[in-house]
Amino acid sequence: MTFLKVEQLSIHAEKEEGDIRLLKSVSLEMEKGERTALMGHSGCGKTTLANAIMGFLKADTFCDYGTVTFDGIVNVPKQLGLDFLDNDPFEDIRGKRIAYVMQNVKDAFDPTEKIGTYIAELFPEEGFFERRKKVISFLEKAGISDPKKVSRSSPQEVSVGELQKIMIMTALARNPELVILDEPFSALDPLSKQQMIEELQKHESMGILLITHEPETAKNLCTSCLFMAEGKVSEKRNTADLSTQEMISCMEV
Amino acid sequence: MSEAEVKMVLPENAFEKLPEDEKNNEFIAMKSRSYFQDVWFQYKKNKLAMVSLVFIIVMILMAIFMPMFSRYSYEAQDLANPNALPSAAHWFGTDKFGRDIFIRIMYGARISLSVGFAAAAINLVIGIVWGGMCGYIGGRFDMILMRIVDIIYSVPTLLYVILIMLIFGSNMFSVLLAICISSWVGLARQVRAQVMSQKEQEYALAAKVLGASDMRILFRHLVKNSIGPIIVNTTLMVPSAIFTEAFLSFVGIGISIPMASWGTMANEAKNMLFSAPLQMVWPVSAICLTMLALNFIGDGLNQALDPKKRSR
Repeated sequence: MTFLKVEQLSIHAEKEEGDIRLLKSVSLEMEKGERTALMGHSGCGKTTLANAIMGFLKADTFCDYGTVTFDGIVNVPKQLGLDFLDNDPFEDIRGKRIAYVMQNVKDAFDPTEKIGTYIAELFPEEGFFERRKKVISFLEKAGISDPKKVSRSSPQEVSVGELQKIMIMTALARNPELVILDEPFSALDPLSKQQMIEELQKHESMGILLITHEPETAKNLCTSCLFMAEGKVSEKRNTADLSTQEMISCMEV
Repeated sequence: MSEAEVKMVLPENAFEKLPEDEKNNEFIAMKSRSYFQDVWFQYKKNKLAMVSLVFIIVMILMAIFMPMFSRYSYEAQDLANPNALPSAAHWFGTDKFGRDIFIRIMYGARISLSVGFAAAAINLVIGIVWGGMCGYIGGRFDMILMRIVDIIYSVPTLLYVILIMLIFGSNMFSVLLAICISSWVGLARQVRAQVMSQKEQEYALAAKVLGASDMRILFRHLVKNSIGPIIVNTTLMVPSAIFTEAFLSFVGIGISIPMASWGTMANEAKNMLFSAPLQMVWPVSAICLTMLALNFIGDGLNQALDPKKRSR
């Protein structure tokens, strides 16, 4: 049985100059524990697809057709807040069974909240002092050089690379069954990138949907890959069958 | 480059040793401050706003404690000594019934300030909940709730103020009710606009992705991030509520005699304007100074909370 299934998802955005079709009947399937890379040129709808899988649409964006099914639970992506009054099928899944590392990490943290408070949410049952200890050890594990200072800083005071590390580690902290990574290593130095890839490899049974521009990273982490262009998704191919050069030419289409 | 050449380019005295106390200068950085510490730091720079804040605090303290320790009360008449000029016994003089004006101003401050702050607090709560829900949920829910707001907005304020006064009588509760019904609407609209723009920020989505509930995202993240303009608007609501109360009392449908409100005092002094003009000065200047001070505080907060308006 397929674990994650996107069926004929069509999404358009309403702009002043007219409607733009972001996704044109996109379908994709992933087995449990499968590792797939999603590649394509900038602006082809990769992030829209990732958001839609999590169940979100941006403002003035509408879903015309299609569903996202995760382990038998069917959902239609909606704008944030619209399902406040009725129940949201993915409410109990998000963060626990599917994790999502967003592309724009700099804005993905509440600017009025300290990093330590953000991480402390991972340990809701612990007492105050116990929590602080856990936050510090969590940051140490994420490879942050000065955990005490970072836990007391607001997101603007921390480097993008460190935020990216924190975000990846937070996503992995609850042992999700699937993690969607939207260009997760874009601001990391080679050493930190290697460290994060190792952390991802540790979760052996976890599925990965990796959005990236780098063929090497895709080959390193994923067994299969999909190409996206103009809101459409190609057939799934094995990363082992493709050379780096072939991957780059596929992205250009 | 050989060693000889280097020596030629750099003469012996090209560098001098740094004095001992300047050696660590590169480690001196700006002290990291939390958001509200920073706002306070910015606010302190504004002299006028600081003076106003001190004035309002002194006013509040006097309104609370002066009547407790004074030998006069706001209603005790001294018919042997009407319309007295200011003296050591009666600092602001007495009115036509021989009541001490100073203590009546203090009682008026109690009423005016409590009406002002209570109205602002009630408006803040209603405005945040109503506007926040509208902005966050959107869609048809937002449409219906905002049309209700439009309807309330379109009815002239004075109309239902007078209606409320007729039904509930002239007392502080009905003044408060009348002020609150009309003024929460503006705040709700502002909160809605703020929340709608904050909702599009990535962190709202990121919080949802981590499994945060909608309630938590709305009140903990979105409202907290838009709190600056909301606080400013609420501060400016205090003087407008005080003004409305004084106005209603002055035209005779607010706080009723013998309770002392600045509006009723001005109303009473109106009859004595030609024989004892000083009696008019006290309540009017109390209203003026308080309004000015509160507006300066609002202005100062506006500057301190809005990073774009800061002068660094």
